[in-house]
Amino acid sequence: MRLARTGPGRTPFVRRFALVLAGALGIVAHAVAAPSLERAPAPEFNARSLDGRDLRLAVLRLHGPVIVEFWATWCEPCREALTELEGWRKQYGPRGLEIVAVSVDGPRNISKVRPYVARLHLQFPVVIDEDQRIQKCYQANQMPTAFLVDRAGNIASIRVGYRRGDTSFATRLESLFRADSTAASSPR
Amino acid sequence: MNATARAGGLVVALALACAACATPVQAQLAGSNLLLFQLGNWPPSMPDRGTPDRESFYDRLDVQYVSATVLAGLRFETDRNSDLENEYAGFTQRFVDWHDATGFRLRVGNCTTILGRGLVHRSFELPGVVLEETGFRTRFTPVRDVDGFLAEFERGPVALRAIGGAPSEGGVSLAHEEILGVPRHHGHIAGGQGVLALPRQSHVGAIVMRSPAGIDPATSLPRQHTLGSGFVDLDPLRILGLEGPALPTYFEYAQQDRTFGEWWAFDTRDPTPHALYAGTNLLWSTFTLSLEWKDYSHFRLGTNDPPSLVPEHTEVLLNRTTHVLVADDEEGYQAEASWSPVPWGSVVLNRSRADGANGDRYEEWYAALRALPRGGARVDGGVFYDRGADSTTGITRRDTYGFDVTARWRTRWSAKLDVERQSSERKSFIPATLSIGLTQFEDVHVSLAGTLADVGSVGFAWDRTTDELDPSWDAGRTTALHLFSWNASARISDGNEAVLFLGRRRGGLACTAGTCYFVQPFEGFEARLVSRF
Repeated sequence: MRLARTGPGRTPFVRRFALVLAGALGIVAHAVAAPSLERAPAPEFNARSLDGRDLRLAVLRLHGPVIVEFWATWCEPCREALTELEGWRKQYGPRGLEIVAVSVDGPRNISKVRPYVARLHLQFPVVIDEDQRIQKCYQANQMPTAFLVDRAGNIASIRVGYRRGDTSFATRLESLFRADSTAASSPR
Repeated sequence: MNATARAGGLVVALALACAACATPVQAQLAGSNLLLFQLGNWPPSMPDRGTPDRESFYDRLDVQYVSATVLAGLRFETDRNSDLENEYAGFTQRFVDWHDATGFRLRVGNCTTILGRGLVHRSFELPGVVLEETGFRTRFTPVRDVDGFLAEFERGPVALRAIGGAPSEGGVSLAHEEILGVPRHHGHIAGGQGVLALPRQSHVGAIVMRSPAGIDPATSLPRQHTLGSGFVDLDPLRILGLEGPALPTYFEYAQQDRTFGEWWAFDTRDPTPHALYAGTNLLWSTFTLSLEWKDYSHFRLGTNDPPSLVPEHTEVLLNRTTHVLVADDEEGYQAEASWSPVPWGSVVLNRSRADGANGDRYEEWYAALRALPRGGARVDGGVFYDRGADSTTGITRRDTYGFDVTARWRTRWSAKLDVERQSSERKSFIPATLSIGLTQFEDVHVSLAGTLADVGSVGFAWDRTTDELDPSWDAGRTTALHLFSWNASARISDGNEAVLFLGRRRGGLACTAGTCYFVQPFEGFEARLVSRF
């Protein structure tokens, strides 16, 4: 079926476009005073990990920076990303880094999540986001996607996808630790 | 989208704009955009493809207002093309979601959730996926949602969840509403679940759902089914106080239009509408064993998504031949064992089988070995072998094997090679002999990609098939079909990434997050720009 662009359906599009433009103008106007998504407040969540821990972002970030990693068993690059995160847990955990891996596996693969986690020897908490609530709040549309949340609860950096050797995310994490230690050592 | 929904979108849009001006410190407007541009078309083998140099763009814009207690969002989608075919533009999602510290949460507008393991209800979205319909050609983001409300409350050991509204099966775009006048959301569902937490991480729960059951021929009024389900989630070893090995176990049984007393009979005879799912994991050191059982009969509701118990493979050729669950009549199991005897290696074995109506059977054996020497610092890779058959698609035998290897150097450089081969035998109609017979065909997939971290990647893919049912197979072809393509991705700036494609893309089945859909073949140039702001 083919329909021309002109005709009765055309006017509503213009109206909708104007509406989106108006909304966008509102956003642009706001952007003068507000930062972009990076440095924006990280959506708060509470969830229960596979080992029964109650996880609240507000509590986790009291210890230090938090990495919220969205992944799935069917996502091949996620395996490397999670393995790297386990290394970071060992390296930065003593300095306060908290990691939460949010599995977005649907019902088909929920039973695969625990074995997968065991196979990769992951020691950080893993959460199953059954109803995609956390995923939607963070607009994590690609797997894997990692969010680095600072102590203040703002998103310090976002990593979409995974490329081994990409240093920008780790550099941002290091800068957070440096900022924390500077703040701790500065006189009040 | 009807007038009420449009008004709702307008209200949310204005609310977002107002919120932008009055946003407190701990609140933010955030957004993401997907722009998909294509120059080219389906292959000549596809009917009604139009001009070969068709130009089109699809755009999806998501805007969210995020604060400590409120989340409001809008999605705008548009599909435009040079053939002026089935174009549309408009809001396809709008919602307001708020919660407080007492454990209460309410969402109004487009909602998604899962009750139990999805036997009775699961609404969801496939993020990042853009579908294209064949008959009524149009592109859209598939969302199986409910246009209504979602309420949740949790206090102490009790958690309650309720959902109601008009469901959508997520299979059509807004163009159906704008051009054909067919609403995407129709019918009515209402239901909820209650979960009680017990000691030692055990849970029991009950679900009730009313869902559409067609039109009553006597009254011409819509009828409703009543679905009931109960589940238990526990770890017997933890209950016994054993440390070390774990045995998390889940059992759920659902029925339709039966009494509470009848539920306890666990009637699994056909044709009694029922769905039974049981799954357990044995986790012991580096060894894990996953066992699942299913028995579904007349339980394809359109608003549910029971576990399929079919492995979702990352291997390209296996992913596109995944068995699609037939919830009307299917019974079977899946067993998967994995073992990591050394930190640098693991083995996975999977056995799946399902029996359906009329003697239909799907079965599969899968084995994979993965090696990650020295943590994969220089090289990692894996090999796999799969043998399967699926009479629902006429496949009487299918052997697939392959390997992948990734090499890394100078910290930021890497290259990955993926080689797969599949040989199949299918029972089908043979025009030459005008009879049903067996045909053999073969598929090969080879891809090579190089990546420079922080910058981007460049890749090449080659697919070869002798499958005469492939969507790109032109009539009269007597030789193998070859499809070559190049792709590249680049990080333009923080928050902006471009993915380019040039060549011929193979069409067919693809599965993401447990859901399978049809991907259209394509020949030409494609650019995908993903932005976050």
